[in-house]
Amino acid sequence: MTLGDYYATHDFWLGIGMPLHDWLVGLGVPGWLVSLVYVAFGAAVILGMITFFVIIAIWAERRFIARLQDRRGPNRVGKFGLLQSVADALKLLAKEIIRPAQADPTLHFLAPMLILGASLMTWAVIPWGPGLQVANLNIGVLYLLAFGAIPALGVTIAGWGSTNKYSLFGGMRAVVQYVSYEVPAGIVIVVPVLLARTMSLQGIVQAQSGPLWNWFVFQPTFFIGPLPIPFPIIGLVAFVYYLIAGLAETNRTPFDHVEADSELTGGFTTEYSGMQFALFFLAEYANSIAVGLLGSTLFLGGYHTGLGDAFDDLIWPLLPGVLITKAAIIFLIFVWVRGTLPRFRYDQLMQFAWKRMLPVSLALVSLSALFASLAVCWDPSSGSRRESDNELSAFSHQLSAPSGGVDARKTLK
Amino acid sequence: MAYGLGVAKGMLTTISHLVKPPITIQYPEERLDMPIWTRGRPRLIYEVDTGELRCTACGACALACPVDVIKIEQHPSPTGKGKVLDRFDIDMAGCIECALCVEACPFRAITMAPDFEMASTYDRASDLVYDMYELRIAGTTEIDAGMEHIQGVKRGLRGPGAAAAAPTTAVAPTDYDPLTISDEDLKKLPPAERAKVYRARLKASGWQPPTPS
Repeated sequence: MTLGDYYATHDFWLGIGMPLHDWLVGLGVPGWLVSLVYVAFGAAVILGMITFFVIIAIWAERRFIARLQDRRGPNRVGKFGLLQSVADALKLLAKEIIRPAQADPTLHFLAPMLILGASLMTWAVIPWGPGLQVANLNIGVLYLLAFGAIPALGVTIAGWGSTNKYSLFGGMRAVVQYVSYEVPAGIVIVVPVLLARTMSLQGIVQAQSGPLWNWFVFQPTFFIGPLPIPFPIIGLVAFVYYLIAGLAETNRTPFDHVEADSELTGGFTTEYSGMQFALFFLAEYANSIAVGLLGSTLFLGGYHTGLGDAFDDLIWPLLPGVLITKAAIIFLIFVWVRGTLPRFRYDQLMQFAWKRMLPVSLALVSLSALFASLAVCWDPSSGSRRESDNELSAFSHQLSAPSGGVDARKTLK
Repeated sequence: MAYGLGVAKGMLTTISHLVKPPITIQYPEERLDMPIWTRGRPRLIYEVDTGELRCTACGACALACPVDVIKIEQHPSPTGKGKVLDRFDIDMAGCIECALCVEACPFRAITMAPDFEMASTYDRASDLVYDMYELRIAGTTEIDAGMEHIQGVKRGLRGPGAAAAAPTTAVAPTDYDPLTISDEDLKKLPPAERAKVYRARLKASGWQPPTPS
């Protein structure tokens, strides 16, 4: 059975979405209306989820980082401090929005919306379960890179439109940081694309189906007889680099000199008060959680549990929870790093991106291309694993005899 | 491959704090056990047996106060000897709790007690002015010990405290029960150990910090 057959029944779209659509059309509802309702419903659910996750993330960050610092976090507002974020949001809502008189009104108003809009858009392509995502683009990774570049524009606009030298400096520094870390981030994202032979995020997740050693973070995995030996020279390094670049893209410590209050009086957010400031923060947390979700999708097997297809088959309605758990673990790792490391000096930050991460990520891409062409690879058209059918892989067959080398064990049963 | 080892060590240190209990004291449900020498509100000491204030209305504390919050009124005693204290007000709104009044007093009549919960919401101009009746505190050995770091060990100018004279150089007892130790043995202890005994006795006597009204 190929993966295509598998997903035909255990798939949110094929199993629930399409039958519902057909039933509604059968009742006489026009097809375009059903599609429109689906899209609107999906968008509303995503927006609600983002807000909910951001509130939980802020609460978790404050409580967790407090425990790392030998103190409790906020525990007075609501049980365990759960309503603290709500209280903060209400406070920010009630504040007056002050626009500097000399500031360009369009730019000043537009900047937070651009940044938040871009970070919300990246959530649209995340696959939550088999067949469950807002938009199943087959160029999902390209879409992510495109929308990941917009916050740089938003920050420039915020810094320039505030007509404040500190904001301008903060904005410029932030932009340089974003752009510098987008380069290794983009290159490292190519690694799972090469291993999965597809840019569609749903396809990348499907390529990691099955047992734990199929996850891209453990690639390459060599088999000695039936025993898998993960040798994660590509996967782990790519994953760690993706996380580091994610930290830098979302202005988290140790890359948070943009928000270093003691240095830049707030950086590009200086002239923003009330809800606009809240939008910046919302965007930062939404981005952090998105980095966690995308890291899980690209490297940690997405919504697969890693316990084999049979198990995933059994609990398939719960698979979105698996993805959320992985993203939460990555987010907690981010908070842990925030509680541990001091801030990078600005030139150290730039050096790290250009002199350390960039060469290594280029090497990673070459290695993963080599591995993908030599070894077993994923065929998105048939939804199964097959051996690569070029001369090089035939050669590697002979190399890894006597057991027959890379073999049918990796195809789906 | 030393890259990242420092980061990893730091991260392990941080995560080890996750399993240790936090050191936060959740005020006001939990309160810290303040030591007896805590600088809080100044209080006038009265002898435990007679109930008389040790204060002789000399005015040294009012002179020493850098913010002039001590107001003293007195008149000559009808017996012709000494002065009678009419009014002794301390305005806690201005008191900076510097303990210069404690240092200046020649009679060990004023001390800093560990009171700090004096917040009031009505009429701050008059609610925070404490008169000599509100400032009374019993002159127990613990209170005198709380002044030791300012006034030195009590030499006994008046009252039964004169019996607990200067510390001797005798050998200090090593194991003792802080609540039942005798006064002679108490004199032989070094000041740090004496402070422990005083603190234990204070706790055992059930002294509570004043609750905010």
